[in-house]
Amino acid sequence: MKDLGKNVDPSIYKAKKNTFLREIVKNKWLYLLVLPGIIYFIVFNYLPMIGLYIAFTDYNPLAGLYGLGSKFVGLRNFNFFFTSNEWIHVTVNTLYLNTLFITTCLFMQILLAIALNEISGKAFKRVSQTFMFIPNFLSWTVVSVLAIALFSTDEGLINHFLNTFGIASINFYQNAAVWPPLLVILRMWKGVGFGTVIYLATITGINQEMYEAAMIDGAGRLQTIWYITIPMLKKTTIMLLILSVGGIFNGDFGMIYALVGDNPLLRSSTDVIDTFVYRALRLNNDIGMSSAVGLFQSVIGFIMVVSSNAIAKRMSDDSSIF
Amino acid sequence: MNKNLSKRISVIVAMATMITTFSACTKANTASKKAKLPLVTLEFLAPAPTTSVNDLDAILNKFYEQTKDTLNVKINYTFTTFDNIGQKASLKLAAGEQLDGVYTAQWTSPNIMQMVSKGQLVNLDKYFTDDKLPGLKKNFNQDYLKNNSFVDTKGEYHTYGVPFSHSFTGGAVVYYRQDLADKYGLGVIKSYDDLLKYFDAVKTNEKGMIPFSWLGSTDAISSTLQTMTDPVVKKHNTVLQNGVGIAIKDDGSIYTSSNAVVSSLDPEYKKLSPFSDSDPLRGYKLAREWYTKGYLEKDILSQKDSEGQFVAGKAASYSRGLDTYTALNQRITGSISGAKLGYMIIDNGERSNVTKSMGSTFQAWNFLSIPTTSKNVDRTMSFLNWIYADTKNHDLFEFGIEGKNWNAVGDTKYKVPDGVDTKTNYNFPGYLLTWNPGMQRYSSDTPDTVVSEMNKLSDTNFFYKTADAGFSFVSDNVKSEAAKMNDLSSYLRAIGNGVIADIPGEATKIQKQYDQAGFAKVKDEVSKQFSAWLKTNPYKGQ
Amino acid sequence: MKKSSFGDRNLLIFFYLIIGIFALLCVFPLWVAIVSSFSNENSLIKNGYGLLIRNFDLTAYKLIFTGTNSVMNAYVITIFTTILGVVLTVFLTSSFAYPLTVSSLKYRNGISLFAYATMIFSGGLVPSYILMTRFLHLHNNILVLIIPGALNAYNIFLMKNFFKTIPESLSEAAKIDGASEIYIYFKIILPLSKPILATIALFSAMGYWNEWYKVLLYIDNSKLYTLQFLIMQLQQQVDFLTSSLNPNAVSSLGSTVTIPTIGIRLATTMISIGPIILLYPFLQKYFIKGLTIGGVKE
Repeated sequence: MKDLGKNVDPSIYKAKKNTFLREIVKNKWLYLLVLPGIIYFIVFNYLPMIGLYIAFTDYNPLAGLYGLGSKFVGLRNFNFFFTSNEWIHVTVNTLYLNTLFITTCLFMQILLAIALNEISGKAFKRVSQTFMFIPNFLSWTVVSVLAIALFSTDEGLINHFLNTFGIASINFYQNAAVWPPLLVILRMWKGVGFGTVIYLATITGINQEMYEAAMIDGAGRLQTIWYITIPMLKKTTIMLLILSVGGIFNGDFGMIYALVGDNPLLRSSTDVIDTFVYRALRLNNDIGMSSAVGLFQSVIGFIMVVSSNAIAKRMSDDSSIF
Repeated sequence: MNKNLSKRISVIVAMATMITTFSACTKANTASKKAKLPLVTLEFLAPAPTTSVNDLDAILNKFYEQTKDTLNVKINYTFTTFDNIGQKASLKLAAGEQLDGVYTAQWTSPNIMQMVSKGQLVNLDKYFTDDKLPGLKKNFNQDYLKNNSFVDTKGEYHTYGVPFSHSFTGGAVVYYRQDLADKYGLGVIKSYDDLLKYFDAVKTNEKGMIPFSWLGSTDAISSTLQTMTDPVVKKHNTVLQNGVGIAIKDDGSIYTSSNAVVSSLDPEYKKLSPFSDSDPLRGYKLAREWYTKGYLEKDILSQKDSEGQFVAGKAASYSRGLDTYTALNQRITGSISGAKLGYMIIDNGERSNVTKSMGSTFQAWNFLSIPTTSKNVDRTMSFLNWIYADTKNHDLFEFGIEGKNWNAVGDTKYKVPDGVDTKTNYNFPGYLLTWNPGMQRYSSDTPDTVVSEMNKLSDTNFFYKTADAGFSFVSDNVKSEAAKMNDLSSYLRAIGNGVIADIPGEATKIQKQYDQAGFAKVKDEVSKQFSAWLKTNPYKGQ
Repeated sequence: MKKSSFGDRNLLIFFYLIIGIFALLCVFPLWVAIVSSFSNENSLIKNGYGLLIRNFDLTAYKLIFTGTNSVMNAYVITIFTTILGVVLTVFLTSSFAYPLTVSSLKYRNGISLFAYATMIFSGGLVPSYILMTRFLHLHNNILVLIIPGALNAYNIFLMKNFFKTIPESLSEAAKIDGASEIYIYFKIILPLSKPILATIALFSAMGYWNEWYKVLLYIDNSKLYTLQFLIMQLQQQVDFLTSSLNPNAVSSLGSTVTIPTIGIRLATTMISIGPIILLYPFLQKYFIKGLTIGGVKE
């Protein structure tokens, strides 16, 4: 085609359009499978994302249609968070606690999944798996009630136990230092059952013949686990890690607020971004201000996911999730 | 023949004319009678302890029966939870749904002041001065309304919600076990010292029982202890607004305290306050004393249910409003055999029966507001007028159908009919529509002492009007500082509940944080708004 | 048959111990909670929790089941929405996830990112509420409990990850034989994916069963209340009133708000756990080793 003297050869556009259409046509059934999901996401997730704009306004539901006429205030909604003394502290706490949660739960889940896979005894497996699920059904408010029974200074089970050995009682609800390990343990107890299911599903998908071949070659249990099972879990692990990294700036509000509440003495080690925002805005209910901090958490989380995905991709092309 | 025919025709024509004119007249009459208001359903949004109110349909039907020719409105209540009422109201407004009446208060989120400052509520002033709405005019006098007005974007105060209240304060008391007090030979507890003796006796005689259970997870006991022991003073020239202490000088100007922890820690403020002789940290030191003496439990900061502890017999006393006396008495006598309920009034002045020792803003804590998007403001206010026009109407909504859900006992008491189960009986929350200081009925098994105390607390003459009654602070200019301050206030609960040993040191530490968060800016804003308001509402030396 | 070595046996014992102890730790609080939900509230507060029922008392359960709202109706609604919701979820998730694993699909990474971004960014409550009520007219409509929430990126990635473990050679072999993509998906991939389908079914069943917030927002018709909503709204009230309310406000609400707290919380949990615990053993068999083998020719 003759060059029109401009920068771009129009035939490129045609070619681009062609490749797009060609791709769709070539894999039309696959794209058809994906279509309902795409429509779903657009309707239920992307359309409401207009609301991200609220973070930059002084939101008034009666201003304009659906409150879209609310006054634009730029970054002012972010003020209360970033000019406070606490924001660095709570952000660090959030990251610290989440990192602990992710790593300890991961370790435990893999261990339990492998263990479950190795043991025989159907009844034992069935029963114990059902049991491991149960903590997930107890809401954090129920757990907090039982936690008081455990940790109470005067009558808690743990202090009773310690006292019988002559050890002085620990004042759990006034001692900030004990809470990170406590939170980790409670979080593991509650969440591990579910994650184990995911790893177990992956393990059961592993080709049995590999194990049989290995055993014929004389490999022991530990070796099959180390050389077959664990590498097969690598992809799943990396994927789950990347997925959790996206939420690493989101504190587990439900857990921390239920267990620790507003206890000022425990704030130094347990206060996370979400509890801080909740406390600051509780009497204020400014939708703009709360969505501002939420937006901050989302943006940082997104950056982290994209970067860790890129890192994973560099390590092995298959491990990245997109 | 012709003559007869024309005569007959004229008679017929005359008759016809008469008939038509006659029927035209009657048609005009019935037409004017039939011009009643079109049927409209008013949508109300309210919080309630349960998802629905028992028997509400029956009551609403009765109401409609009685008023279909006059008001011709149907009422539809949507109930939601306490923590969600503010949010649900905002969502409904944002989505443009029909909403004719919404519950608002100072504690909903958003609260009534915020909704007013965003122009979301209708100015209701004119409905209370209208002679065509006598019910409203009679039961909501101008003073009551003035104290329950809020400031709008133009800086003017108007009525933005119909206030509902009984007494002007809940009448905080310490509920204790009279049976235990009798056991220790202490008699009725009438003073602070008596109370301490009670605690000591509990500590010695009942192992494992908490002498006093306090909701440390939300409140600080220090202010209650101060109220219990403050000397009764005649001058009341200090107020607290949004955490800022304001002292009004004799010349009408004000001084705002620079200390956010205890206003009197600012020496200038202390000099101006009526408590210029007391230790500013007295309340905190009392809390510490109670904590170290073992009157308070060690895990006080996590306590969420002191009433449950008291009813179960785990605690020997706790604090709540006197208005819950009847319900509490039922609970405790049902759960602990031989238990007798006693109470000691917390406020020193109230206990000594000194009038004008307790202050009140005379503000209600429950309102019914009408969003500006409502198309039925007049109809809604006529409905409210109907309720207050006649006690029978009022009692229908508050207590239910007489004879079925309740029986009147005189003019001031009521009784649930025998055989009616309270759990399934009509339980419409009065704070949504019907509470009014002039229209109160007490349950017939409420003791007379309680009734007279509650009546005292509903009487405007018993209180002095606080210097800031009617003032509402608008935080828009200091929004982010106010948010930071909300967060810091939780630190005050540690010294406030006696768990910290070094009180002055901790107070200084917290003050520093307040300063860094911008307390000075909030202080100046409060000072500015309050001074402006004082010009039109001067301090009268109470 | 080779005798298992010393190391092997120890490892096995170690595994049994870990599972056993962990399972016990998990069920112990549940046992205490069950026992306490049937105990008298006052004796719980006074004497603490125990392993045996003291003062048998059905008050908490009675409180939940009385009132004008039909609990049976709520059970029906909950079961209905859960079953439909799970079917929808599994269908949507698997059909979305599979194409993302086909390496010849050019835009698969972009689509993955498109899906993942929904996990991180959210427009908040207000636009969702307006969308559901004004534009989709889902107010008081049972579909609001089924369709929103059916698809989420986390499940998609779990499935995608599992599909990836199925060797592509299988589908390639089938393609050479002339099979279409759809045939491959339905006849080869899905049958091999029972573990992950069961996993996703279980996760989403849990989600649907426990849904109450959407009822709070979008449903005013008491005939459409779910089980969890009836239970949670009672618990929310109690939580709110004992946690953040100004004492003036509490006293202004008067004596209408005195409810047993511990008993309600525990009875709540018991009622909501029951059916799911019954469901889980049925899905378990899909995890047991050996079921997936059959189609692998490698």
